[in-house]
Amino acid sequence: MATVASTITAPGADVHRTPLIRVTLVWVLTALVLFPVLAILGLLMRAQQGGYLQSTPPEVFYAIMTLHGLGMVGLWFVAGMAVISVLLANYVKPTTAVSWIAYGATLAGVVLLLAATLIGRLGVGWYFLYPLPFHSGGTWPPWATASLFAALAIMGVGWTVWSADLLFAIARRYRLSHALGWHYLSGATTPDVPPIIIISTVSFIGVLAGLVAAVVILVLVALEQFGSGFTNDALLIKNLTFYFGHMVVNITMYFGVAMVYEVLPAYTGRPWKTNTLVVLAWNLVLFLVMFAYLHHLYMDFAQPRWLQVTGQLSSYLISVPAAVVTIFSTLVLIYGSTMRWRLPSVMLFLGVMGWAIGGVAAVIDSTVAVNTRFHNTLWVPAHFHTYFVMGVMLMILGTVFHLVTDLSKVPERSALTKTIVGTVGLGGYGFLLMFYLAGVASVPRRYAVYPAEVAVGTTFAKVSLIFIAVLLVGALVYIWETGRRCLKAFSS
Amino acid sequence: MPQSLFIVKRMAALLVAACAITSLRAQSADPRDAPPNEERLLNTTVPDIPLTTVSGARATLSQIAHGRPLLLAFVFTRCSGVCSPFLTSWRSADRAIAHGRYLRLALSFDPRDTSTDMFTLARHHALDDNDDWTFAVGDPSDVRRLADATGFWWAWDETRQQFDHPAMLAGIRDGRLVRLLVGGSITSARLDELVREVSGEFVRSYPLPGRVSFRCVRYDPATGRTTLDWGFALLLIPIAATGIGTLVMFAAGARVRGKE
Repeated sequence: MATVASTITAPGADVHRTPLIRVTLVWVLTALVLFPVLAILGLLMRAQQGGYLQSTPPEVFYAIMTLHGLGMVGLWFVAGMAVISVLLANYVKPTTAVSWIAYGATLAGVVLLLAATLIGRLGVGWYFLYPLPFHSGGTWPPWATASLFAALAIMGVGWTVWSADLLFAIARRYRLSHALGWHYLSGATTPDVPPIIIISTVSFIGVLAGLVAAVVILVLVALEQFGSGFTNDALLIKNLTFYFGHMVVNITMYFGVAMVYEVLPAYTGRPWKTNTLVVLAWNLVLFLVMFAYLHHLYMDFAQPRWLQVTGQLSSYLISVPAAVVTIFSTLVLIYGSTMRWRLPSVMLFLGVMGWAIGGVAAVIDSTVAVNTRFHNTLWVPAHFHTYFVMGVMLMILGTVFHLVTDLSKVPERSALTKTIVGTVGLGGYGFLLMFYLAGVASVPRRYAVYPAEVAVGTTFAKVSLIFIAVLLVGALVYIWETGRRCLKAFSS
Repeated sequence: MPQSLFIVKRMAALLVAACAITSLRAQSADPRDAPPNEERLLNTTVPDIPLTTVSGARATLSQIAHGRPLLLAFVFTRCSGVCSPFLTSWRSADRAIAHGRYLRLALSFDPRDTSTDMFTLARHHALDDNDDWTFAVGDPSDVRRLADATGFWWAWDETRQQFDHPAMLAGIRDGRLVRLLVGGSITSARLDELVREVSGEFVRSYPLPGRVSFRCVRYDPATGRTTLDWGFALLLIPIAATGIGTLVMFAAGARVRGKE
């Protein structure tokens, strides 16, 4: 059974962690319930694109697409936050009540989103790009749009308070210069700051910036809706929307990476110490992540050219400190070690590799010259599903399994580990391959039904159904194994 | 009542009110209060209806266009309102456009109009012997189909004994609607954009001056230059607010450490 490295206190050892572990287990159980439901929505979308479910109207496809997208982005963000908070509790003291408040706000937001999409048939996509929510053409009622923005406002408040509390927990123990590891740059090695503190500090600052952008969007939209003669600039709102959306998704990945830094040493038997390279890398990330979102606006001709250049440079450069440093450090950590290949370590390792593969696809797409061809093709969902499904999701699920196995003392079964890794690996990459091939064939994204010009998309969608089914089998076995450990840990 | 419950109730009431106001705003909209919705019509296939020109010739829309881009306006000869000033404005703006670049078609939507009436209208505007311009009538049901495809509408006003209708130009290329230009007055700059777009060029769209607040950038259609506007400063709020917030948070953290 997995044990924790010397840098990590065993879960449950610290008195103040026990209530935090409890709320984290509630977060995990909720995520384990929501994940297959949202994944099945994805399956239904691919089924409709594959020519099945012919009687389903396209607006249902778009409503499902909205719920699937917003749901998955939100789900893995909160799951990442919850797991990070319990790992951070080894070093600092987050407030358990704040995690409960965030949980309540998230549940309220989920209910509003379910109503907006499943009842109201809101079909704006996960980025709800202005002014689309206000121009439904009769497809969804105005209350569905109001419900979406209310959900964003409620969840936004909950997540802002949560992020601020976790950052403040770090601030109560470390100076800002220490939390960002600047003293390592001058050659000092004390105080010893673990990588998770540096990555979390960078991540929470980023999250808060993204959430402030969301507040600006909500204020501008509210002013337009309830003001008189006020019309928003679509380009400004698009900039703010992708600042928020890209930041949340990017930071979710960094949560996963922080977990790798914290948990993988427990399986390699080597500590993962902070050094100058790690500090430089993550401080550069803090700077570059503020501008990387600009690659979402390459097709906006009104965006000044220097911003487009900044977008491409940031997207290229950010892959060096965050991805390359982490990927090579992971390989160095494992190489020649007495690695114990258990489910958590395999998932963490595969997560890093999935992040690398998805990252390369993302960098390709963030090249302006390539983006003019790949923009809005299935290449885009291909790359973001790669670093989400086969990247951060594996990192978070691996860490969750590590935690609940430790807490429940239920030993890992080798056969089930192989089943989960085999089915998730085969199903995941098979399903992604169909996206990539369709992208290369110029099949557009967000089409409920493919016209004759891109009918090949139908075939790719049909084949992907087989792989999604395999992936779901693996996911369900994982959920069963983790869920019962979770319940046992919760009851004890 | 506990404070938290009071706040929750107030927030719920606010949410319900917001939904109600949004719904009422949507319900009060009369299609005739708004110009034809270009977004919903772009790239629509336009029916290739048969027409009768002022010379009495019968030909379909595509035969008249003969492969050229087409600008279409709906008018009626008994119009005492916008039709004549609109045609005058179009003709005036059109002087800067090269001969033969596109076909100009004025089509009557009034079933009472004959080809003779349309000839009189053409002669009134000194366009009766201009090859670039075609004045025509059509079967009422065909004209209705064409109007529906281009977003044009009309309604009989009993009081004024006139048709109520918008003034608009529909740009058509290869049988599909490319762009609409709505309004009684046509400037040469707007017409030039429309002709370029209907000819297959990429023409930037931009908001009308004074209509949009907090603009990121300002675009000058005359020079094609883009400059930053005040709205761009709003993009800096997240970075500035978070930077200040982080410094305040760590200062407060230092104070807590000091007390401990």
